Amino acid sequence: MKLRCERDDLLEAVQFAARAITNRATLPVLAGLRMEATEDGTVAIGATDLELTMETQLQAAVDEPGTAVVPGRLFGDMMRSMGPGQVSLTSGDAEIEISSGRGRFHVKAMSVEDYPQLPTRSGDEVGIELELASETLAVGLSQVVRSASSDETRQVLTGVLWEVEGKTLTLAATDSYRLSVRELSVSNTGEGRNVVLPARALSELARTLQGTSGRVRVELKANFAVFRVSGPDSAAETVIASRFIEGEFPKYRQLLPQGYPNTLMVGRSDVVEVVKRVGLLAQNNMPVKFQLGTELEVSANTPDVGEGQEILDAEYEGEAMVIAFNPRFFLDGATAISGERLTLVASDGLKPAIMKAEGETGFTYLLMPVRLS
Amino acid sequence: MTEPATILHVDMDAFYASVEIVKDHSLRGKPVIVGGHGAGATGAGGGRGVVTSASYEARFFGVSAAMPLITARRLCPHGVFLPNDPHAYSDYSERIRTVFSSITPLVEPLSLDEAFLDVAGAVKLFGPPAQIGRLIKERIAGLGLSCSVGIATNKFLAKLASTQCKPAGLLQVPSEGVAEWLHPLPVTALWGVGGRTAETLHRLGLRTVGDVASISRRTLERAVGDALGAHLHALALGRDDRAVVPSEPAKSVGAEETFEADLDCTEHVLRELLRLSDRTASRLRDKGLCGRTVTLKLRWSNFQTVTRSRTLPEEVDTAAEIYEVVRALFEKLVPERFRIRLLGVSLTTLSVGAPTRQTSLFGDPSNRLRLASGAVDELRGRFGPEAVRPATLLD
Repeated sequence: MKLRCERDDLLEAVQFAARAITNRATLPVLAGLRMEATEDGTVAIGATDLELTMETQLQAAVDEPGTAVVPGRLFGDMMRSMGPGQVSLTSGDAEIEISSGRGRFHVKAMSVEDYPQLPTRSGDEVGIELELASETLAVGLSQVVRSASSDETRQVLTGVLWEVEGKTLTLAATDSYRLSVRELSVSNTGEGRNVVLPARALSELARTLQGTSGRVRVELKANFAVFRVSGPDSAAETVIASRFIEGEFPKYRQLLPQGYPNTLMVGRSDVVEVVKRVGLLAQNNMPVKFQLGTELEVSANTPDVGEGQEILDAEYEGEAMVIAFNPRFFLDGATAISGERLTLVASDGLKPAIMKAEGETGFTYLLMPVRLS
Repeated sequence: MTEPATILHVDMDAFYASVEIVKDHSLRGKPVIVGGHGAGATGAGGGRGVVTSASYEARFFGVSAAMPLITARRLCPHGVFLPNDPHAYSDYSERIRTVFSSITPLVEPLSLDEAFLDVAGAVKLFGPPAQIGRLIKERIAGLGLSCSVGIATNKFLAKLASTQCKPAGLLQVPSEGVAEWLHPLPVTALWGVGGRTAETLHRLGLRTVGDVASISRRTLERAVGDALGAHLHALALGRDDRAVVPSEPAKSVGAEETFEADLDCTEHVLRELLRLSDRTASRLRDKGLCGRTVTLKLRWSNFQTVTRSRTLPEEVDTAAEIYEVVRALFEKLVPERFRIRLLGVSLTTLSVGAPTRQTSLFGDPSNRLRLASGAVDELRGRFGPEAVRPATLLD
């Protein structure tokens, strides 16, 4: 393999792919970055930890097509430290030569044969294929991923459910304290399918999709998903693949209550500000209390620290009631929804409450209260 | 130097033994010895509890607090040996505090049976401190108990005075004649002087408080260290500027037990930990508290004591939740073979009320525990503390 490219392009690609490299990799070769240069002038750079695979492409002058695996961390550090301009790479028997300006470096290469096949490149067994606008999926993911659990003891809750039925894709995540559900319209080549994908992979996907305007193709295969993101400019393709999480996602639909008696409507950015302020006095897992009414009183109290309350004007239908939430969970919900006004629907201080943007139907955030003493 | 003597130290005389006598008048005049927690009214085991309290009749035979029960039995074989009855003692302690707070809010309890009072503000209402001391003695006699009262210008002297006039005495250290009264006393009268320090002082030829007062502070600091030296120097001159600080709410709630025979089997230890967790949880709820830091205390047979604690993300107040933590702490700590003399379980980082708890979409086991514990409390309230127990603790 022999090629010349712009350092900035190479750095960008390397930094992207290297995010799939983890410290807990089971095979030594997984600390490497796989590079493959083809005659048409594209260089694909990818990495995997067998769960998550990230691969992207850049344009280069390819003098000699070929494949190489380089130590990811070192190569990334080298690219970062180089000045802008042209970089050339030449792979030899057991090492790779990197030159830039007047510098020449030789780095021991890793075994190409030992490197596992990237699922991003496997052509096999296409299950169903969906397609939707990148930006739509990015927004949907950011709304849902935040509710996934970080507690590894219940693996399936560290993921996001992808429920495909005809032209509807429903994303759902819960850490058992709150539940995010988002419905999206997609084009679909097949029938229905339910899979759970790790939140980590989906965060990377959301980050990749952020600010892009193209479309994203989703292939749901036997035990992994492949996301193909085409860049706005060219044929260059960025691909993320992720294994499914095994296990059954809780039946979340039955948790969504129907018809609650008490409805509060309040300015969304106002309530976010107030809960942030008052929440400073809810330390050590203390909750923020909401006294629901046409004057919404938000209060918090931590023994030995202090207490505070603030009042907001609101519209309210129902009985006066008090409900308490973990302020972080409340803010996660209030910042996930869009719109000027936030609707909070509740039954009593022990039953789940629902947060929505006024008039919006596509996204639901369900939040369990904190039981007060 | 005419500070008014307004600090009182009130110390109950043979408190536990006296409470036992109030409970059972037929014991009056007999040598009563309280200690251990042996089963049954025949009392405290012959095993290894210690004497927690002895009536003055028993003291006549040489029985004293903290003495192993087995020694006490040898010294006073005809004595009446009774197990501790913590319920009764805290009940009477409560009544005594009510007497104190009828005089002044400035009450600093040191334990169940002694307290400092600052009566500077009560003089107008009740007369001079000595008269207040007599009033307190009278009101406590109304409960069938007796106490000794020391009165002085500071806490150190007041406590020393009550010790000097026991039992049933009242001694006011004259503000003008502190030195004459204090200086003939042995150095062990100084607060903070135990065996080791006493030896050091004796080696320097210092036998009385007066001897200590007569040497320079510098010399004293060189002999026993800076902090202790400065402290003893001040005390020997009769100075102590610690204020009477009214008691603060409990900082810790717990239970501990010294075993008749060392525990050397995990199964027994876990049973005892469950029993102690249950007792701790019960006390917490009784006081309307919950806590976040769980501490396990453990004393090996060689008297080495270790404690381990864990602070939880959420407060707890049920036996099951506390037991789960102490069990994990124990399993992490314990070697393959062990002999344990004492176990203790306690909770700190306390808050008032039942725990606030993040509820879960998928059922809430902690809520069921809480309801069950509430039912247990109700049953115990009606039928006594032994009415309901974890099944593994049934004999």
